[in-house]
Amino acid sequence: MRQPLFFGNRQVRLVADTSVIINLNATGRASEILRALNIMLQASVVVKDELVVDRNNGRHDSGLAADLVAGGLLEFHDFDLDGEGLFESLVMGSAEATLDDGEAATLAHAISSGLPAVIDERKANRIAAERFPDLKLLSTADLLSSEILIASLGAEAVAAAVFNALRDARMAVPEVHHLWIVDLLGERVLDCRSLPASLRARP
Amino acid sequence: MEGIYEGSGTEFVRRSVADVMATSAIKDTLSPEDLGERIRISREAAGRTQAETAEAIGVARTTLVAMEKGVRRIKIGELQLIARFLNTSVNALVRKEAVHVELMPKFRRLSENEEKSVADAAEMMAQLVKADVELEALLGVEHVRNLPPERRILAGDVRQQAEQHALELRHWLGLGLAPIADIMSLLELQMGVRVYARGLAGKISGLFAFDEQVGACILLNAKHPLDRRTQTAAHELGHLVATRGDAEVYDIDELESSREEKYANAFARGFLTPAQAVRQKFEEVTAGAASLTRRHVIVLAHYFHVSREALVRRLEELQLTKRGTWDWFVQNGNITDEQARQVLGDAVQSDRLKDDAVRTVSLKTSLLAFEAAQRGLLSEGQIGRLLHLDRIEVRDLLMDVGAEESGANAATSILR
Repeated sequence: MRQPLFFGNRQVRLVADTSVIINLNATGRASEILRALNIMLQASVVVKDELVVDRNNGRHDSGLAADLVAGGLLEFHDFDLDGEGLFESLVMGSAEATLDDGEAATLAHAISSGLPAVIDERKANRIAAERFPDLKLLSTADLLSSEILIASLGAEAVAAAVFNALRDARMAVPEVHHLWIVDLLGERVLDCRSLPASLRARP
Repeated sequence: MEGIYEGSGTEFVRRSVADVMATSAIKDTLSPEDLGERIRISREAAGRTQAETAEAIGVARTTLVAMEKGVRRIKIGELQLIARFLNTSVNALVRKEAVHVELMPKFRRLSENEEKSVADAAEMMAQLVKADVELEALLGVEHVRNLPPERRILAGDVRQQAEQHALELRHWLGLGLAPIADIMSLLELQMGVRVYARGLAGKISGLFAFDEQVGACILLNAKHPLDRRTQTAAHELGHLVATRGDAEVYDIDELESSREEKYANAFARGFLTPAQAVRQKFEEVTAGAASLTRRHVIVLAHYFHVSREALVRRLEELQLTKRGTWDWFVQNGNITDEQARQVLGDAVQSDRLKDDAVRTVSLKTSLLAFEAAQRGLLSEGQIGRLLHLDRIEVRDLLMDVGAEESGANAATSILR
């Protein structure tokens, strides 16, 4: 059902956006997922600030992110000189050509550190593809689609994690992942409003 | 995709940062003066002094003054600190289309308590207006503005002037003496006023602000009943007609003694209940009766879409009934909603703005935001910042509109 993006036996470093950390937290199993995939996340300190204020709904992503940091699964980084310049170029200009600070900081840090970025936001993906064609871009769904997760956590635990992210965080899922998610969740897709209506209409 | 992480992350091929920066021409950057002005407006809207802001970013106050005047270049790191201190983002401060206007009132005779709630309401109105104006600009939506001619308040009786101006406006709008069933729509559609309703502190019935860039804006208290909100809207219309260029944008119950407030109150009465129309309808409804009954009041208030109190006070003013009539009703069991129901039946008047006010974001703004996201004009983070929503709320908003859109096809295409 999925391509083996991760191998488990070698640590992979990825730069995560605010929305990805929110999605992972919503799975209820962020630490287990990152450990199973042997992923070390990095994020900009701008993202850290966003997690603190992004809580109108009573979520506590900042606290959950702190748990990931304590568990050695997430590091927050300041910009280096290159990153700062890139950040500036991504936030200044017309609305269409720019991003909000967290999204811009994620791309800037990924480029300046030479690491792939995990970012679900559609416009950020478009801008990244246009301006940084060599930057490897991943989504939260890419992480959750790994066979290693099933092997490590079991299919039902992965299904519950995916369902939680979809239901509680309204995780956006690229089209390439629709089929396996429908297969994995079965009837539960009916409750996942962030999936396209056409998927939820399936019997 | 398999094996893309062979080796370490540093094997990921990247162009040099300088190369990327050079090829991504940073267009549409603001002039230092414009940037400084935006910072000043955002700082004042956040209620922060120059000294506090300077301290927060680790510069001298004089340096911040120079930044706001545009004579000292602001480094990106400093901008980040400023944005963080003012609870906004660098992008929201510097994005070309972002709207930065001053809609804050200047206070007069307000206690500290009142000042805070009026300031909060004014900031809320500014946020609503800024979001709509930026979204409209991004999407190329033209906001039609057709403001009525301005009338200055001159020496002499303000009430007489207000009555006259209200009648002139009625004629300008082609209303004649007809009752006004939906003043909010009249303001929006015929005059291009931006009208919002949100739950505000109890004492605030409404705010009015005017800015050349964004036009006339009115914020009404959604917690107040529709007839009272109608009265407030007409009152704010009085400000629009006579004092739109002035700084006074508050409307608090206790502050009715200024000439401008007296004018606005009289304007509202004249606009909603024109003397001639009231006299005519009063004759019809009372039909030679010797005293004014609750039924008379209920029918007349319903006809003119005003509160029962407003109607009786208008009858007193027009000397159709004795001064103190309303007070008598109040002291003698009032005129209750139940009595009104007995007279008028169960027909519930629709209250569009109140319904909209319980939404996190108004229906109109939701549609604009969805369209901006669909067209890739704004990111999730930018929409969240613009509408003061967190990420999940943004996703909810885009999903709700998107779900309705999913059935759209060629058969429903809009012809332009």
